[in-house]
Amino acid sequence: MITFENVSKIYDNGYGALKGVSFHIAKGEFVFLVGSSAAGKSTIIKLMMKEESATGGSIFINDIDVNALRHREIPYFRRTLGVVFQDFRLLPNKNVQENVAYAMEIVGASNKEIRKNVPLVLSQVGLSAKAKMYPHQLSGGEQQRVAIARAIVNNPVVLIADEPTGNLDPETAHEIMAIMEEINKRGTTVVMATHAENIVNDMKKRVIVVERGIITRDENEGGYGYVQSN
Amino acid sequence: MFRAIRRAFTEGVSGMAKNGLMTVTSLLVVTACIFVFGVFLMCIFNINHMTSKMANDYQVDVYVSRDITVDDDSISVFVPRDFSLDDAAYQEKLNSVETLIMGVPNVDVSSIAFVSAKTKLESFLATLSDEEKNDYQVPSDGVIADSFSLKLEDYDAKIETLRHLGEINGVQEVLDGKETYAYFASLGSLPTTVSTARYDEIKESIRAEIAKLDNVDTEDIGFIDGKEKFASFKEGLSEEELKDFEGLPEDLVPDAYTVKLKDLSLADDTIAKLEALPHVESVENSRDLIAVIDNLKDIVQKISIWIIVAFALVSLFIISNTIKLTVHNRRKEINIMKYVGATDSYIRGPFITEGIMIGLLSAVLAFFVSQWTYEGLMSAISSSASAISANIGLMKFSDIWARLLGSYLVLGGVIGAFGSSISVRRYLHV
Repeated sequence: MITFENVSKIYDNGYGALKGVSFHIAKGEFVFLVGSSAAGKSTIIKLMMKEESATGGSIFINDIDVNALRHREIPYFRRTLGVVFQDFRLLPNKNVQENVAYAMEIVGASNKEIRKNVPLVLSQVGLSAKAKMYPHQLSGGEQQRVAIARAIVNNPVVLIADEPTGNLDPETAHEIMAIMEEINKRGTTVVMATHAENIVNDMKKRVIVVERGIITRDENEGGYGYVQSN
Repeated sequence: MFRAIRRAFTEGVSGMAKNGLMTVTSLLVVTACIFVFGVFLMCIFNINHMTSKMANDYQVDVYVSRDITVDDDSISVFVPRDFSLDDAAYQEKLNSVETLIMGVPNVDVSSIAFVSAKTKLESFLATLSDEEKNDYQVPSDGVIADSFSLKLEDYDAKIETLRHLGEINGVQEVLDGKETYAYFASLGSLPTTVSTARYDEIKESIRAEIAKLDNVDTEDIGFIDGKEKFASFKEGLSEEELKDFEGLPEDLVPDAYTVKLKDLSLADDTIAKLEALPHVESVENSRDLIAVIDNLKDIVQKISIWIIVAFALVSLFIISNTIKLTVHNRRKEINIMKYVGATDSYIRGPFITEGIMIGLLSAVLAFFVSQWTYEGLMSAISSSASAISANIGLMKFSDIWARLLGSYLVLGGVIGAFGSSISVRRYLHV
């Protein structure tokens, strides 16, 4: 599903963010990407989304050679990914249902599909009752659920989450993780970059640790640190 | 597709609304720019209208001369006989003048011949018809001078040679063939105007010659009778004024052919050909006025190109800045669109639409301003100087509004689209 082969990334300012990173993520896996800030997690996420381009190595996602994508092909590639951010990134002037529907409008879905799918994903994240509310009327956890609903409404093959629980209290974070796990169970590959030690340790999923631009550890049912991995 | 256009439109409108003051500012600036462009455009429309009107009215008048013209290229050097001189002394004087003539450059020495006044006169008379000769007779000896007749090697240097000949001691006058005839005629010895029969022939031949010219519209050759023209001119005068014209011959005004040209740009050439025709007194036309207006058109066009360039740049700048502001206002939304997989054109659509709408709206505003200005100007002109406006034939607004609005919309739309795409390209990294 996702293959990084000796990927390196040197930014225009000369900073080497990744120095030969290789890993393979199979379809349907749930993978944590951990590491201190500036270790290279965000760069990996950006490369997956083709927000940045690798300076070395090769990246394949869903059999697509990401490095070889042409500019005009990028939007169509991104439609196969769902993305969730730490800061939710909702449109403040649209209500919950409109925020989700917006993602479908952009990819050119028919009104019929939109009317069918939006309530479906909203019930999946447990927000059916708040469809008409605006982001500022929602709690952080609820806002992140809207963002997740928006990310999965177009049925992506991979859900990429960049610190999705970073702004949330532990209890809410666990609720979000439950939703993520549910999505993963339905067949969507999930890649989640995080600092949240508790979550990583509780979930017992595959953990890829990045430090100073290289992968220092990659284990199934891993923990956040070495201590837990034993 | 339809939804994408509707979205681009509604989002474009909302972009304009959210930018409020900036939108109003750019609307006003672009309106002003388009209006200035329009002022020049309206000038050009009117000048074009004037030129085409004048081109339609353009005619060349070819005046037919009644004067007898002689086809004689010999030069006469008059050497008068002083009554104090006896035959021998006069002969001596003639010999010395002849020697000096031979020394003048450009004189064909072999052609020099002494011609008595009487002989010269008779040679002219021989070219006239009987009718023309009727009233004239050879004057008595001594009224006119004897001369040397000669030809030149190079007639292009005629003026210079004539001056040299005139400086010879004992020479009274140096005249070419035509001038010699006129001189004789002035002494009452020769007729000055052709006979009626010959004049009719001349008229016919001129008409035939005119019709032969390529650039002449042979269907539209008119004739103005000079006598009738003079008579009708006099009809319009008071008795007081008529006194000035008493005693003038009724054929004072020469007859003329009126000629229309097929191609005005060849007017100079055609007029030169008409002037070169025999028995053509003069050729008159309004070519100079057309040249003036053509010149004016040229200048206005050149200025307007620069004006358009300058104001288009100002418009581009202001529109692109307005769009830049919209892009900035909506950067979050743009970001989200990118992550969800919106195509470039989907993201750019509303911005380009906003720019185009600012341009088109400005065009419409500028149009109404132009109408108001133009009609105001027209009514001011017609009330203050009706004669001028009637003569120069300014166009009515109803004649130009469609072209004007069309040009405005095209200009506004292009500037709007271009201005916004500059900003979208520079500030919208998709």
